[in-house]
Amino acid sequence: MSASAFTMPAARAVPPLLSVIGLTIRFHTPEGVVDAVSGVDLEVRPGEMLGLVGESGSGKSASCLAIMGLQDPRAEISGDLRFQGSAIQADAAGLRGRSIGMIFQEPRASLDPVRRIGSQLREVLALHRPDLDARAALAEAAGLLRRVGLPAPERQLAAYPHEISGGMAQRVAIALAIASGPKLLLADEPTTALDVTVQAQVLELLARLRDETGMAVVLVTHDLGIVAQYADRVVVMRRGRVVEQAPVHELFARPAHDYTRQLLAALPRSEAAAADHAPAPQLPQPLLRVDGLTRHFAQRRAMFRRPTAALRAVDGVSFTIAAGETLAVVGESGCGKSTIALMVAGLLGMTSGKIGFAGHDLGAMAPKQRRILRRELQIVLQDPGEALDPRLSVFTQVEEALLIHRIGGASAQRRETVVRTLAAVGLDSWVLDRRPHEISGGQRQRVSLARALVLQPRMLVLDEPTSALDVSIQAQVIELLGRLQRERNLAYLFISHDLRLVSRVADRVAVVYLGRIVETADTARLFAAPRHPYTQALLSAVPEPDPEQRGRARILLPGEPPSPAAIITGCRFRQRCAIARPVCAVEDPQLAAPPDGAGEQVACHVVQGRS
Amino acid sequence: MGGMLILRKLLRALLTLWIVVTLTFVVLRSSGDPAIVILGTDATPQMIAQFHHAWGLDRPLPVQYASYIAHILHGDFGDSFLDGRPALTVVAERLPNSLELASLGFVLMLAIGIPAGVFAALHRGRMLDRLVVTGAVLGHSVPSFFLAILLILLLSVRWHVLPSGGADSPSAIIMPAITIAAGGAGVIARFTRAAMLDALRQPFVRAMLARGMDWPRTIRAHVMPNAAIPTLTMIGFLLGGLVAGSIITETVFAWPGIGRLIITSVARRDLAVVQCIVLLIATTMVLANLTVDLLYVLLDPRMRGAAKEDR
Amino acid sequence: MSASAAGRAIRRRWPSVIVLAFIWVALCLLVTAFATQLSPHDYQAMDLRARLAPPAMFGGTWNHMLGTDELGRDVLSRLLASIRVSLLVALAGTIIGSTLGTALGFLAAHFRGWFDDAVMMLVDAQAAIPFIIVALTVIAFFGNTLTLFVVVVGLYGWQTYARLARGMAMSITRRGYINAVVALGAQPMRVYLRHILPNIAGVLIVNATIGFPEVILLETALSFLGLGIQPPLSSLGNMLSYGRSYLGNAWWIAVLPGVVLSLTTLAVSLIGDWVRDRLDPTLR
Repeated sequence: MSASAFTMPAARAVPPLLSVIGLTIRFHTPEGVVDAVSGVDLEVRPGEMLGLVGESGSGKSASCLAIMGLQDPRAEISGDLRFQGSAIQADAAGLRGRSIGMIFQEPRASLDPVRRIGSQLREVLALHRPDLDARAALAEAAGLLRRVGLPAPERQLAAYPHEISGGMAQRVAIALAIASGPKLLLADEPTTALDVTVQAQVLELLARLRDETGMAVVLVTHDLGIVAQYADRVVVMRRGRVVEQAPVHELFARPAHDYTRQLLAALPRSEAAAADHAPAPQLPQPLLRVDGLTRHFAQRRAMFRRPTAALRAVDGVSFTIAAGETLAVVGESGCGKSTIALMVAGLLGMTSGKIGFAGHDLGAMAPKQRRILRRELQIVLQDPGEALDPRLSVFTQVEEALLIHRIGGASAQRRETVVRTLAAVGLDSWVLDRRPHEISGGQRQRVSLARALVLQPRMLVLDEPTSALDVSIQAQVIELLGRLQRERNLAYLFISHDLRLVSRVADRVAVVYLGRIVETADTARLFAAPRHPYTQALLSAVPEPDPEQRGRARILLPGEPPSPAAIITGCRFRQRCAIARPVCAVEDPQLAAPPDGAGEQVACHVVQGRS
Repeated sequence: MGGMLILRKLLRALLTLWIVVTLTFVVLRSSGDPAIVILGTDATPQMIAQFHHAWGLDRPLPVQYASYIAHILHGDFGDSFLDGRPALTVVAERLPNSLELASLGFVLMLAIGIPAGVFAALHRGRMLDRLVVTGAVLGHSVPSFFLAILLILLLSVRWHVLPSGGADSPSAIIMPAITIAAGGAGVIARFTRAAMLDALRQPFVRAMLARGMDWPRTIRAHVMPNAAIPTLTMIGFLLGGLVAGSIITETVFAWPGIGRLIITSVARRDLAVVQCIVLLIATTMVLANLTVDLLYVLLDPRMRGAAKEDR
Repeated sequence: MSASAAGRAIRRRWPSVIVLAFIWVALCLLVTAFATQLSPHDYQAMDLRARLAPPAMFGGTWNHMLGTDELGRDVLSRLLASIRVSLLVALAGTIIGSTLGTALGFLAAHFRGWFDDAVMMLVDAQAAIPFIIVALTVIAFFGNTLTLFVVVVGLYGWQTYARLARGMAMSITRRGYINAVVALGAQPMRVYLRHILPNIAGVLIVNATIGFPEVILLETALSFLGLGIQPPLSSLGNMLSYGRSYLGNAWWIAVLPGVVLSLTTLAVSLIGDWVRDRLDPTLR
């Protein structure tokens, strides 16, 4: 990256753009004095991209807000904050919005929902560029949107925030932030709410703007991959303190602090890890066989509303999973992967298709038999905080599974079973009488697992089981899942948006786009040589937590995942596809083994050799 | 834009009215012979027979229902058995008085409630806020009829400043208007305050400040317009309170409006008049709610977006 | 030092206004339970020699501590009897309304489809019409009996419970733990009664607390208008109503029940708001 020129030794002599010494953010609570941030020192140099990383609660966002004078009014701030050598006032007067801009995690929420985008842009321009007259301001507003890469800027000016996608909203927020030509941009988790392909677009945009304008960017994130790919220098925070800061290459090559080492060790790296997986031998009789699974949602039917075209959330998905095997289903938000999970777990009816489990067709069975069989097919939900009833103790909730199925014998025997199951997921009996809010997120997810395991299932549906957890906890849960699988020969249907994670846990991967599987292959094969253009783009968009791989060419997909309400004819990916042919507009490609394949199946005319 | 949505709201309003009319019919039919109910117990058999024929009560139920609706649509609610004139005429006579009182009360209510709520939210947790919140809770808790009695006791009985009732002098409207406004002003102050606080909590407020906008402008240009939208939905609810308040207030202050009329009519079982007033109020309320809904669509672009998605 | 800190913590949790409100409500409940035993006189007993006697502090005697009315009946005794009637009617009404509303809300959430549409239509219709109009209509056509009156008061506010129960049941069903229990194989009855109802009970109770003053006000307003509780029973509304005629020479007949009524609605409102704020700190 050309940007490194800004930060290398030659730049050291330049005085810092922003310097923070001993920043402390203190809250006086009924429970006593709490320091959200204590004694943070950091420096931002002109034109550099500084990565500020840490897990939730590390104080990284709070520090940024304090620099802008936007902290919680109850917070007590102390420390020496300087911008270009002069002290920043408590409300960052004269700097906020002029020399320092800021963008936030929820892009849409940072726009006024009842004002058009053009009106919001012109308002900010009137503030910072009073020299512009109405026409010039309008032109400038359109120009700003063009600079942040919004298609058809003149049309977008008339749009309301709810009419544009999250990625576009973040671009608008960036346009608003750079309208005054700031010297420093604070980006607070700017891509956390976005899909991975959109995240790549926004990060590239930030890097480009930095290169073009020479403004410094503080990139606040929890994702070490983003830092490795985009930051020049990294500051690692933990529990309100800076534990380490170093140039990015140095930090990843020689982490000095234990915590940094822990974080790096917890990171799944896709390519290295994928090599570990030997292709699982295909058993003759799969445990789960899903055939042509389809789910259409009628669009918000209510009185006096004309029925509209069905929303095809899942549109003909087939796969099998053998005992002891993990199939990962990956895709971006809205692709239908969670709907697949809910249908397989029996929580959502299917529009058509067949689910066969252990040789029985679940749809054709009598409800009673199905209930018994369902015991062996359990689901673990995404957010462990939500998956447990907040009022009931851990014991009650794990035991309830036994009570519902009237198994597990007498009370004492049930208790023993529950204790044994909790032990299997690594929990002592002290959690028995705890309620969900009294234990940590990782422990809650273990309880969730125990509740499913107590029924002795043969298969688990894991719906984003770690996405609500911090990286270090995530690694522990993944390890536990692996152990349980080996001990009990469990089959996993692993739903995830996180490709790095998938590379570590899955035997096989199915990539889903708009309700269809577009590619399925053994994990190693898929990560080494993705075939479908969407898979290629998806993999390339994942920021690898390795700064040495920065040179890698990125495939940036244009646009964003469209809504399943707007499925087009032919191949549903063709409008974002770089290699689309005329046939793609006409014919819907089916999942099939390409002629030169090695076990993978791809739904792409081009890969299948048609033109 | 949003044509489909408007049509839907219109249909819904009509449906509500239809439910009300039907329920009135059901109540009327199940409470005994409507002829006796409407004409009174001292009606002669000829009168009853005549009434049965006129309203089609000698025909099967569905026909009766249709005939009932037809009568209603023609503004024929039957005659008041007290003075023999058509119920609609009796009600129409009293209407201007009620409108005068209600509109004055409504204006007072908004003029006190909205600014109080806005200021309380902006000075949250401080003296002014507490004052407004306390006042609002008090206004809501003290029943209007007790407030009316206290006003009469002090201003009429003790100090002789204002007349205790009637509508004979221009100053007679003051106490009833205050009584009507008090409770509603408290409600709207609390609601406006909550809507303002909610808007102030939105992430875009912080984002506006981060873009260099000053606090007063952020409040004026972004927070208040956003808070206005939910506050608007309160108005339908307030009108309901206004009707209920009018009934009590008019009775206490002997104000010759339809609120007092409905109470005397219920007490004397002058059911034609009761029915007429009920349907009149129901129609007003449904129309008011419809207006609020349409204003909502007009003010909130997100609603228009929802309408567009439908198509 | 630590004792005073603990004291401060308690005061922060239990503001003195709230403590007073609880005391007042407790007193009212006590009166409701033991009105007969607490009354110095029979509330219907007339003492024609002591008509319109003022309260003790205003020149009256301690025999009739709060004075007497135009028939010489003891105001304190009537007040106690009225509190009992008003509170019991409002309590019965609240129980009817909340049970009916919650049940309909759950059924609508569970069955969806036309049943849901029908319930929501009724909810909208009722919300569109001021309830006092509905009550007046029913009383006008069917006459006024105590049972009917309680049912009418009970119908007040069912739609708020129905809307709440339906909305929360629907959103909670989408929440993880309900899904998790369903995935374990639980039947609807178990899901609704064991997991959904207990989890939304707090909100329903807060709604009942906030709605209770309105139910009292509805009852007293109707009684005030002469269309509610009928003599010989007495409600706070009745007392205010006939006390109106004696404002010039015996203010206490109307003012005392008015003060009791206002204090009761105020106390319950304050408690309701306080509980709601504690349950959901984001609303503060």
